[in-house]
Formats: sequence, structure tokens, C-alpha cells
Amino acid sequence: MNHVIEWTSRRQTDLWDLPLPLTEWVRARRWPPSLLIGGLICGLMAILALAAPLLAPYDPNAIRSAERLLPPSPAHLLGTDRYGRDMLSRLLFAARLDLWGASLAVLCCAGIGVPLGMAAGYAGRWIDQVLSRLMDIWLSVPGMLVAIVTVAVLGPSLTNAMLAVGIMTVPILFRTTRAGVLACLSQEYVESARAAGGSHWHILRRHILPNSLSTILVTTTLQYGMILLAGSGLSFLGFGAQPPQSEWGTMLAEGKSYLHTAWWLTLFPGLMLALAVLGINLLGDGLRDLSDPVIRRC
Amino acid sequence: MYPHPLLRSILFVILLTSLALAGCSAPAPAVQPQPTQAVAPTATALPPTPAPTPTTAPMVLTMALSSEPKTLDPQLASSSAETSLLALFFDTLVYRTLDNQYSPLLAKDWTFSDDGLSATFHLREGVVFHDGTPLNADAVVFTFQRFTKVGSKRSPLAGELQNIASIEKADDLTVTFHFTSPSATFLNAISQPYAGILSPTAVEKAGEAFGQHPIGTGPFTLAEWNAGQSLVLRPFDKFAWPPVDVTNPGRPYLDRLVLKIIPDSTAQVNALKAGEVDIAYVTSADAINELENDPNVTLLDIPSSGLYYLAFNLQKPPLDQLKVRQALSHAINKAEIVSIAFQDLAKPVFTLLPPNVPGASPELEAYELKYDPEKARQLLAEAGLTVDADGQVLWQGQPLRLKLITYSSPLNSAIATLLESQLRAIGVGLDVQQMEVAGATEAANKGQHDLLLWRYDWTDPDALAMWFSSDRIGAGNRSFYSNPEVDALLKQGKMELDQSKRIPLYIEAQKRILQDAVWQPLATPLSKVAVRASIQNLRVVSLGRLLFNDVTIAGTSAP
Amino acid sequence: MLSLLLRRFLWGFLGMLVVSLLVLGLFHLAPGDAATIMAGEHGSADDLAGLRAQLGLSASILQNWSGYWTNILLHGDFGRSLYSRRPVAGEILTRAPYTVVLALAAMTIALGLGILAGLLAALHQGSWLDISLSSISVIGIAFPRFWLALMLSLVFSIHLGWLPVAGAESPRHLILPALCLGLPSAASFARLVRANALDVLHSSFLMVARAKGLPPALWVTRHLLRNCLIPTLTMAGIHFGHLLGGTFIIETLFGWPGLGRLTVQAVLDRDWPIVAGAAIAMTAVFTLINLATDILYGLLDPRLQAVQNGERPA
Repeated sequence: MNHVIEWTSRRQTDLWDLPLPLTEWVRARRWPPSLLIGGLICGLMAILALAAPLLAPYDPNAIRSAERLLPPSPAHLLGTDRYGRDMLSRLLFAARLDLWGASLAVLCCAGIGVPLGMAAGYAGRWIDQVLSRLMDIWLSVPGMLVAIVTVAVLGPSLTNAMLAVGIMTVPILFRTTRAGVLACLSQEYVESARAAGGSHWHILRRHILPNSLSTILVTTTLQYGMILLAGSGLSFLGFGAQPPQSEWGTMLAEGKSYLHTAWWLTLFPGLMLALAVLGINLLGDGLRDLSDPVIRRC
Repeated sequence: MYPHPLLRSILFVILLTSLALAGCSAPAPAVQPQPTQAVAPTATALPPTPAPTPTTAPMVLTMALSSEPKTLDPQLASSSAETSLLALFFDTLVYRTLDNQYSPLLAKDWTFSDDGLSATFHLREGVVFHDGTPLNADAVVFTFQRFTKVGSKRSPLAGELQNIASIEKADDLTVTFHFTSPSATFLNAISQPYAGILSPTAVEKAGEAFGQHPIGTGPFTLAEWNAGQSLVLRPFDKFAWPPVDVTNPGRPYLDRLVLKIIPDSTAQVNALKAGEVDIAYVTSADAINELENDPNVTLLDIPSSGLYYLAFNLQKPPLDQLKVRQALSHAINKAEIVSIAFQDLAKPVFTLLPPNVPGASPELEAYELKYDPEKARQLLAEAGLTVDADGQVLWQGQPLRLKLITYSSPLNSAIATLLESQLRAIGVGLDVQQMEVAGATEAANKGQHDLLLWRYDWTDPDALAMWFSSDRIGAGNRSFYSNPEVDALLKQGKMELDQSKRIPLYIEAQKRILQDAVWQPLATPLSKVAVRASIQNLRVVSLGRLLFNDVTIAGTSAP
Repeated sequence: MLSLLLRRFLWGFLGMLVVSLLVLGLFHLAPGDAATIMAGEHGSADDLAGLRAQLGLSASILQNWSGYWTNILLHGDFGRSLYSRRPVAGEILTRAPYTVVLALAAMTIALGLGILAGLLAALHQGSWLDISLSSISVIGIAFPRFWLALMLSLVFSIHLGWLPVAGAESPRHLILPALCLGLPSAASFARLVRANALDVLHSSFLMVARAKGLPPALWVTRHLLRNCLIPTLTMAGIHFGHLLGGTFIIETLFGWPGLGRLTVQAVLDRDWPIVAGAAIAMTAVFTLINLATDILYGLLDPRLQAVQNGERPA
């Protein structure tokens, strides 16, 4: 009987087994363009963020009264802000701060939401009831309250603000993971694996997780974008990044009053933010597409 | 031939959408405009002229409000959103003019006894409340007694009223106040919106709901309150007791005054440009520049009564050392703050009181700790703080980092950014912590800050007592400053009724405080109010309040 | 069915009890309270203490909580705002219709555009239609909502003058806020629908249906739509709940008198009766939404009968 299980497992989930050498594996796959483009953007962002101290032409916090509100020029490629600080340098350091904060928050959020969702979906019965109700209760609590308390307890900073947003979005990941698991469970596929005597852990790891992976991935990448935007939103309201830190949300807030006169103050941070969200979403799409021909939906 | 699958999908979705929309119903319009006849009031006995044509538009003035008032009960009001509106519904006994004089309003004259322990007010005749009941001594006594019962703790006038021993009605139109000690601040206190006189009948009838149905003697009555959206006011027909700054002796010319709640400042400016509102306060230089070029909009200056300041926490070393505080004060470049953070919509100050308040004297300029980074570094060295190889100031072996607390606002953000850079220039690190108002106030009261960036508005020099007297430590005195000489001066100033003797006391007190470098006062903001050109005769008075009594709108049936 | 309703009601009530306790607990943790704001600068330390006692803020969490629920169960009174003294129930019910209307309008835009775009993209996977729709939807998510609000306001209110800037007096005032809320959500839904539709498209049963010769119209509606709507429905339920909780930024920018502004302002003012009331209202709404989605699940997917019978929550 075991070889039947092995065969079904392999056919459905051979993403997990790497029988071929890596290069052949790479060449053998059909790489979706969204994965490549997304990966490229994300990789580029990551490099920019990590290498910010090396790449930034000026100190992002150096105030130069004489060079305020200059449009893009060879000296300042993306112009200067109302304090005379170089926009390019500030954007690079903002990338560092924003991407790091959002990554931490998303990991937190997924780290709590996904296992809980799987547990609820798989275990069923009262575990499911209790967890689902808890999550509904959590969604009912006003997010602003959670943000204020988190920031009050941990101290005002962008990372803490994004952590607060991450905590608030745990129920979303929980629900979608659970829905994915539920949809999988009712398939004959899993029933046959159970009938064949697979243990809970084996089924979870080998069958449920890979097959609900697509929904989890797409939702997680969506959440990354949402957390990034929400964190910027909180900074916009004064809760997140503290001056003089550069952060995309605060840069947008500062530039809001100069929409007509200094367009570069809002265009570039807005673009960077959009690009980051775009990249991570394309990456998620691509990962989902990658596993698509291999992993059949239950 | 089956329809194209795409078409089928579209049709299916349209079906879904229309089903959903069918369940939707938009909220009914909240404000029904009533066409009314605009009648021009005249001071003579001639009957009012009839309205010119049936199609004449009513005179409706719409003003943008940044936040919705929660209550219009003067004794429970706690935010500027509320106090700026109270004078529309309630009048006070006396009226404070722009040059700090007191003129009659509900009281036609008053006298203070020689020892300052009592004051007698004679009320104006013929004044009625919105509900028709007459204004008399009973109403005044009722108002102030209610204050001590219900309002005293919440109102900034709490301390003032604790000083009243009793209130006595001499006759129907005469009230006498008896004080435990002379109070030079009494007239200022009762000229504030919080001291508006209430109709006892209305209060008794409404109970807790009085704040939603304000009944006073003011020029306007509340017709509608659409929660979250707008307040609609109508002029009080019987109104005939305007303050001295108004020329119209009777009820306001407007048919309706609509206060529309638009929380976002950019949206307010947009609404003004689109003609959806007629009046909006503007604080951003960008908006002001834009509106200056708009032929449909006029900009009026608002006399400033606010002060932005940086307070030091004397409990936190090394700020307990005078030289350190002086050094930090010398590092602040006020001109830069005014030009960059305030965008030139402010003036730098060197007094501890806002410029229009008596006591904000030019002789205090000699005590200002002017911008001088060299001197700052020198003073730090004299205080015993060393500097490491990078130019960082060291305190107890560690680079010195100070914590600045302030409440979140774009302006504070900008000021804090500049402060950080200015302190960094002398080698001192600054950690900025912006919080929402409740959190920041709590942290400030508890003394968790090294530096505090804040703002206050007041019209009387007694404000100094709130911030610098030692019995206010843990509340208004966030510097934890205690100086017996200053305490004595402030107490004396409160009781000195002779202005010529009173003001020098406050100037003296400020000299001491400035010498102790407890605060570094920064700037006083100048803001403007933008008005559409068709609005005429709008007046801006003390504390940025607007007087609508004389307002007419061109293009409607104006007198 | 009756047992399902009863069970849901009990769970909902339990949820309300817990959420109000949670809100009170969070308020306790948050720095400052209503007294701080009311008297903060002008009052002395004694004044603050007196004010606190007057407002009931010096009582413990459990005291406040039990007093709160006693009031509700015995008198049906959800408390009063600490500032305006207006009944909480009244405050919430006055704003609720505005939030509901805005949420419904945004949801219509989001679902309508989202499902359409997602299906189209999935049906033509890999084509230029797919790529452009996917890109637009991904870019659509990336826009910060206030950015969208500023841009749309600039174009439609200032330059063209077609739509009003702020307020809620007429149906025309609804258009811009609903667009700002709905368009980014449409983008999220499009992506989700596309992902799910692709999954279903590659599944065996659909291939059988197509091989059988079913016309596209039939297999799109009967098989594809039904199956990929389930996770979308979950997301839609959550999204709708979120929208009902109100989106603070849009309501602030457009002066829309909804629950979002009320709740956030109440949190900033530390007006706990209003926040507790809002949280309870949200719990009630979520309970109803869950019930609705459960029933819909049962209708859409016969395999999830267990869900419909209430043996498992959706």
C-alpha cells in the first residue's frame, strides 16, 4: 500500500522532492513572467535597502536651508525636500525602514495566523469554533486602539506601528488559511490518504499545506502590501516613524501640502511605495503560478 | 450560436451588481434648504422693506469646521472646537476687545470695591433668552452656581471660581460677587466663552441634554444638529445687544449660518475653492499662496494669541544644571524654525507670554538666549560635559541623548525635525517621540520627557501661574520648576487690581524664569482665515473668533 | 436551522462580552484617559483626580465591565459618551446608515469589477488581456487610498467640478468616497478571483465538463464561478465587515459622517463607552455576516453541507 501513497504524493507534490540536480530542475520548469519580474523588483528593492548607506549620495538627515525645495537636477537626482534634504538618500533609507518593518510584521502575522488557521481547519470541532470566534472578536476591536496601545507599550517607532498592523491582520490570514484547508479536506484525495493510514502530521505536511499554499501565498503577499500601506498611513497620522527618520508615509504626508508647487515630493515616495507593493504581489502571483501546473487544486 | 463566454460573464456580473444596488438606498438629504425672504433690518421705526423678488436666494453662510463639537454647554466644553462656537449662542457679562479692554455686554456697568473683595454688576434691561425667558440676576446666580457644581473641574476657569465666596442678588438686575481674595483675573475669566450665561428654565428642562440644545442670549440659535455633518444656525430675532465691535444693532442679517464639518485641511481649501464653503481657516503656506491669487477669495489676518515653546524638565539630569539648559537654548535657531517649519507664518518670540497679552514686554528681549552654537558648546564644556572624537557630547561616559515629547501634528513634526538637527550640530542627540494628545499629555504630566514641545493660547498673564508656579507641578508645570520668588510674584499679580502695578509683577516674574532658562519660547503662529469675496463685513476679534452680526452676502438681497 | 441560529446567537453574545472586556483592558493599558484630555493642562492634580472619580474612570476594569453589562441587560442602556453625554446607542445608530451605504457602494464596485477582471484574466491566462488586467489590479492595490482620494478630488471636484468635495447631503457625495474605497478592493478581489479561477480551471472535474462539450457559457457560470467564489466570499465577508467598521481616512478626507471617524475620534479622546459600543456593534455584524456566508456556502458547495448544518463554522 505504501507505494501507492508514495506515488500519489509524488505526482501531486513533487515540488518538495528534488530528484534532479538543481540546474536541470531550473531548466525543466516553466518560469512564469510574473515571478521573474516580481523577483527582479523585490531583489532590486532589497539591494537598495541593504546598500542604502553605501549608495546614498548625501546624509538623509542633513538639513541645508539654502537648498530647499529644489527640483530634480544632476546634484540632487530626485530633488530636495522642504528642509533641503536630498530626496534620493531619504528614499533609500526609507526603503530600509519600511521594508524591514513590513517584513517583520508579515512574518509575525503569518507565523500566528497560518498555523492557527490550519489547526482550526483541520482539527475542527470545538477548536475551530473557539479560534474562529476569537478571531471575529479580534476583528471587532478598533484597529486604532490596538495601534495606540502597541505603540504606547513598545514605544513609538515604525517597526512597532507595523507590528500593530500585523497583529490586527492576523484574523485575515487565519480565515483564508482555514478556508483553504476546509476546501481541501473534503476532497477524495485526502480521504484516500487517510484511509491508507497516513498520520495527521503527514497529511498536513504533505497534502494540505502544499495544496492550500497558493491561497496562503497570495493572501500573504496581499497582506505585505496592506501592512506597508497601513504602516505608512499610521506614520502619516503621527504614530509610526519619528522625525527625522525617513519613511515613505511621512514623506507623502510632508509633500501633501506642496502638490502644486513641488510635485517631486509626492511622486517619488508614492512610486517607490507602489513599486514595492507591486513587486511583492507579482512575486506572490509568480510563486502561485509556478506551483500551478504541478499542484492541482484539491 | 451561443453567446460569447465573455459576454455571458459580463451579463452575470451585471446581474449581481444590479441586485446589490437594488438593496442600496442613499441617505436622505440631511439639510432641506428653505427659501426665506431676506428682510433688511433698519434702525428706524419704518416697517421693514419686503423681499425684492420671490427668486432671491436666502443669505446662507457656510463655514468649515475642523472638528465637531461634542457639547455646546459652555461649562462642559473642553476643546477649541467648542469654545470657538459658544459665543454664537451665549453672551457673557463683559466683552473683551482686541486691545484688552473690557466693554459692556450683558452687564451695562460694573464696579469693584476698594478692597477688591466684591464686584457689583448691573445687567442690561430687556435682554431675553432664546426661549423667551428674561435675563435677570437669578439667571446669573444660577449660571455661576451651576458652574461650581457641574463644570468647575473641567473648565480652565476652575481656579477662578474657587475664589468666589458667594454671589448675591441685590435686585432683579443687579448681582454682587464676593471673593475670598482680590482677583485681577476675574474680568478676563468672565469674558471667556465658558462663562456664558445660561437660561435656568432651559437647563432645568433639558437636564443632561442641555449641551445638545444650547439656550442662551447670543445672536444665533441652533436649528439643526446633523451628527457628524453639520450644524445649522438661525439668527435670534429678538437679539438687540451686540458687543461694541459690531455696528448692526439688531439680529444678524444672515438667514442661516451653516457649520460644515470637514476634518481635512486640504479638503477645506478645496471646498472653499469649489464654493461649497464660504469661510475656512488656513494654516499652510502653500494654501495661502494659492488662495492669494484667487480673485474670489479674500484673506484676513488672525491676531495671534498662541505661543510655541520648548520646556526643559528640571528633574532630569543633566538638565538640572543651569548651564546645560542655557547651552541647549543657545543652540536653537528660531529664525530657521520660523522660516522652514512655519513657512514664515509666525514670528519668533522672546517672552513667555503670547505677544498681544499685557506683560509681553519688549524689555524682556535682553534676557533672550539667542542663537549661538559656539556659546552653546562653551557652556556645555563649562558644565563639565566632555566631547568625544566625533564631536558628540558625552554624559556619564555615554553620548548624550535627550528625549523630546510632543503631540502629533504636522507642525510639531517639522519643528522637531529642525530641533533635532540643531542639537545634533552641537553634538547632542535628540530622540523625538510624537504621540497622540492623550498619550503625550499623560507622559508630560508624569515627567517622562527631557524636553517638551508644546503650544498654549491665553489672554491673561496669569497663564504664567499655570506653567511655573510650584503648586502646579505634575499638572501644568511640566518643567517641575519651583522658585519661591516667582511663586510670590505670581500670587501677588493675581490679586493686584491696579493694572499699572500688576503688569510689572509679571514682567519681573518672566525675567526670573528666563534667567533660570526653564523654557525656550519659540514662536507665535500667524494664521489667516480665507473668505469668499462675496462675504462682506466679517470681523475677526480676540482669540481668532469671528463676528457674524454684520455679515451680508453680495449677490443676495443685501441691505 | 434553528439550532444553528441559536448557537450563533449564543456565540455572538459571548463574543460581545469578551470584546467589551478586551476594549476596557486596552483602554486601561493606553496612556492617559478622558480626564487627562479634559483637564490636562489647566487643572491641578487634585482636579484631575476628582474628575476621574466623577467620570468613573478610577474604578477597576471588572467594575466598569460588570456595571456596563448590568446597564445593558437591565435597562437596554449602552452608556453615554463621556464628553457629550449623548447615548452611545444613538450616536452609533445615527452614523451607521452612512457607513452601511458607503460600504455597500464600495463593495458593489469592488466585487463587480473584481470578479469581472479576475475571471477575464483567468480565462485568457497568459494573454495580453491577462497581463494588463493583472498589472492594473496589482498597481491598483499599491495606491495608498488617501493618494487616490487626493487625485480623484483634484480631477473631479476642482478641475471638472462634477462632484462635490465633502459632505454627505446627496447621492452624488457618495461617488468619490465609494470609488476610493472600492477600487483598491476591486484590485484585491481581481487577484484572488484570478488565482482561484485558475485553480478551478486546471482541475479535473472542469476538464471533464469541457471535454464533455459543455458550452463555455455553461461551464463558466455553473462550474467555474461557483467554485472559485467560495474563498472570494470569505474575503468579501471580511472585507465588508472591515468596511462597515468604517475607513477612517476616507471618511476624514471626504467629511463622510461614518462610524470610522466616530470610533477613531473616540479612541483618541479616550471615550470608552463609544468604543465599547462600536466594538459590540461590529461583533454583531460579524456574527450576521458569518451566518450569511455559512448559508451561502451550503448553497454553493454541496460538499460543505456539514457547514450548513452548523457542525462547523464557515
